[in-house]
Amino acid sequence: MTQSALGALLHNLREKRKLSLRELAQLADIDHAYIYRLETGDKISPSEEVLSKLIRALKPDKREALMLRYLAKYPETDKALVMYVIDDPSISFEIFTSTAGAAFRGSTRPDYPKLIQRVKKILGEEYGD
Amino acid sequence: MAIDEITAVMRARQLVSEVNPANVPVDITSYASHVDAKIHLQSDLEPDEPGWSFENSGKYHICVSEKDSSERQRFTICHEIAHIVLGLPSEHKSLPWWSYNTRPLSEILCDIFAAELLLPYELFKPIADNEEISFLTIDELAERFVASITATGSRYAAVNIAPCAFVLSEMGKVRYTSRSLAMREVSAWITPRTDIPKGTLSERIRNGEVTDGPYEIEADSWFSDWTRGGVLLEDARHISRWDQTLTLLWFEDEEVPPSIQEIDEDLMGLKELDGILPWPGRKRRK
Repeated sequence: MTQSALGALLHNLREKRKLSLRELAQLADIDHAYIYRLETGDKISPSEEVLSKLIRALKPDKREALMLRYLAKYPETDKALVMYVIDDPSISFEIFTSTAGAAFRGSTRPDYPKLIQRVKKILGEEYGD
Repeated sequence: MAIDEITAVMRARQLVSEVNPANVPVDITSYASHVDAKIHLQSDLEPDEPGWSFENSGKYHICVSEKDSSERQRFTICHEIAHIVLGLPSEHKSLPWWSYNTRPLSEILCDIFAAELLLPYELFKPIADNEEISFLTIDELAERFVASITATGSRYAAVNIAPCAFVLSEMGKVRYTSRSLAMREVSAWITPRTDIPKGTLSERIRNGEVTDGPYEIEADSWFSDWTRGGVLLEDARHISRWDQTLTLLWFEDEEVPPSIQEIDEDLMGLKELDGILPWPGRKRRK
């Protein structure tokens, strides 16, 4: 089973809080097996109720919480992008969603640092940032 | 909802009717404005990176390589508009942008959509129908509409009133055929993924022969399971950079040869009288 972007982010947040699966399950009041399935990609789109419980238990910052909700809605998002963004707090949620939803024509796809830089540049020019 | 070719064409025609372009070449920026997209020319895109797009706060940004020809830029913009209108995500990762070999369906649908915007049916068909069938006509139309030869040739065959077909081959194999209605109605079928037929002009020019078409060729050289006989006219171009061969096929005098059954009916003449009137229908006679 390929780990989904949501699964990777959940795992990352759980490790940051130094919680075991069972501890998170207890805090969130969710079956630990279900959390495991979410983290491994066996389940990809949790309900709003489950997501809210996980967010309450994991205590992510605002950007991370928004990303969790986004990934539940768009499970095909590339895991590599999510992990890159998580490691760089200067990338806003807005820049993340613009990058994640980008469409391309052509075989050459820029790497994420370059793509994010391009999105920032265009939005900067647009809004004078 | 899964999107098929007909849906892509209908959505594209809806956009064309809303924008209602009156002049040729079509003003591509009017399509972009209509979907709330802004076009950016970028200098730092790679050669195999004609363009990309993204959304931000409900507004779209379409970026195209400023190094590309205006034909390619225009098609790229229309392709990205297709992604926006059809809501299709980008799937392609490692294939040449021009390859029909194993391109994801979403990319092919976006190309079909783009051709509808670039070469709108209402503006393109009357001109295509009035010109003599030839590769030269495709060249002229491509120049007039500021579109690529491939996109124009494909569209030219698809909307033409006369029996003709436009074939795109890559690396010596047929990848895609666009046929006019008259060709589709008689099942003039060219099997994809087969080699360019031996002895055809297309094969010869791919092998480096320098020659001007059109040339006559037996219709069954190109068409699979073809029993009508007849002679096609064939003209072709080869683009060595991408190893693409473009072929235009059509019947002389713009008429498909009759089938054996049609010949028999012609020879038999009228059916022998048997005293039973063929009209009106049974229900009305009751």
